[in-house]
Amino acid sequence: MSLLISLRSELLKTKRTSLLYLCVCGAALVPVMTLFFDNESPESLATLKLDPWVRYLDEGSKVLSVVMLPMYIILICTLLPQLEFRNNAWKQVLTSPQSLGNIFAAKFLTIQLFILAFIVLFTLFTMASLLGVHFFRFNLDLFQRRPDWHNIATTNGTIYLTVLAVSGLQFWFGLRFKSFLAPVGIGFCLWVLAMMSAMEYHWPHASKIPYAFSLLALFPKYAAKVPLMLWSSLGYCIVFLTLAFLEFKMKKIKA
Amino acid sequence: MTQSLVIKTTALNYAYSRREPILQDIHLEVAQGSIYGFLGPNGSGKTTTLSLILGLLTMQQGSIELFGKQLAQDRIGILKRVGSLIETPSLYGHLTATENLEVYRPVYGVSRERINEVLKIVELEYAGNKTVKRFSLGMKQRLAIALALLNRPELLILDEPTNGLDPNGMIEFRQLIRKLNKMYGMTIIISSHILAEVEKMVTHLGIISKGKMLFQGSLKELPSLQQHQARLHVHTSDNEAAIRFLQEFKPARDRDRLLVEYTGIGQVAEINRILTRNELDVYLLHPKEHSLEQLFIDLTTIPNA
Repeated sequence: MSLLISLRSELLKTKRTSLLYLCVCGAALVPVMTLFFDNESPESLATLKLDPWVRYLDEGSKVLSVVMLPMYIILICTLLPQLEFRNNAWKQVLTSPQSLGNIFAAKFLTIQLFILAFIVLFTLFTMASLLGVHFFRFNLDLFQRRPDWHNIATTNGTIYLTVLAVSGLQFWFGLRFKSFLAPVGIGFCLWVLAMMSAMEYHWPHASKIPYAFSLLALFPKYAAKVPLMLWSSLGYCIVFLTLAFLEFKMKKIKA
Repeated sequence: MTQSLVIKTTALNYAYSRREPILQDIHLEVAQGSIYGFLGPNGSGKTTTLSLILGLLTMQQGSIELFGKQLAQDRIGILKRVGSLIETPSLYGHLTATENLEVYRPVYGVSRERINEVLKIVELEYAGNKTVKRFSLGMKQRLAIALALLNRPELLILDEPTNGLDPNGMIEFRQLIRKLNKMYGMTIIISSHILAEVEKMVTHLGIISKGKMLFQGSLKELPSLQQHQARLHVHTSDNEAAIRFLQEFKPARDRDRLLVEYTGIGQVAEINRILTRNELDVYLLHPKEHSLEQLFIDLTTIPNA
């Protein structure tokens, strides 16, 4: 109950913040751009017409898991703790009658809710974008088929689990650095390194890097490693959160 | 202090590094129902002490008791009975005044009506729907106090709350503090580096300098310290020689003058006789001012004062 109260407080703090705009606008960006600016080649259009829901959502999922979601996580994990740093509000939070565990957990859960909201919104905007393509650009016989909801839920669930590790690590960075630039810069560099090691250098151990999980999980080549990557993501997340909480608790100066 | 104590620290020591002790043997006692002025120059250890009392810093040595309980043993239970404002207001600029209070309302488990009550107490009921970034500093300070009052605290801890307030803001603030103490029986500890700011509202004083408590007691006890601390400004044709002749009066240099201790008017005449007997011209022989401000300055600046 007390965790729910802390969570409610955290959610209220996000009202009118860039976190909300980032969630909605970030999720809409790619679907909107695809609707207006994507020029389908005759071949890809033919492929799309074969199974528009599956193909279009698959393409969307790739963009989501490789670029949009990691970038979004890096930003929100920094922006949420910045609400306390920028408003000089840590001391008020820490002198309120909440356990440190609840304060910590409520902040992390808020981030997870924002991540889930982003994934759901991205999927909905992608579907709306496909409807737009059907009505305004090409007739795709869209209503002859139905979206595969089970596949959508499985894909989105997998994407969510692959980014858990990154969310844990970025959350730690966001809590420990007062500066906005440091966690964003470190996160971006780690993401670029992970992308390069997986795609450019094909490093055999790339599947052990948290920032590469969401990319590799989509490659058929790594299909067999997906369950391991999902467990690794969860394991990394627990380790990062434990370290982050210990540091949060032991910090000499708490505000 | 014979009343029950709301805050009691015993042998509190704190250091940010081994070479740099910030607090040394702090015994702070705040009696129930009092307005305790915690005074000291900047960097004297006030904020560190209050941060330790609120658990914002991890205690290193000593003990902290609030409401008769060890802070470490029942932190959450104690914080439910405390309201605080540490230096600058901790408010979310993008939220309205009401929303800022709503963030903490469920945490303290108080009703929605309480939000209007506290806004009324700090006279901000007209600004409940205004975002805090549009508030003046005085309004922010009052809203921060409203936040500290949300849980009907028995103890209010205010660290340098008048920083940046204009004279009108300070007057209003003093009235508010008196009102809270009188109407709600709240115990209030208020820190400042300017005695004049708190002198008119406190019932008890604690003076800290360089991490050590120099005085603690009620305002009534202060005159005895003043008596004990009575000093005379002396200026002669040869102050160095005067120091030698006035050893029994514990002379100390104070810029181009001397300060010597005395206990009665008769001793002023005696000091004059000693100086003239030793062929020194006496240019000045004047009791040092006994204002509270002067005493505070003496205690916190002059060595061996």
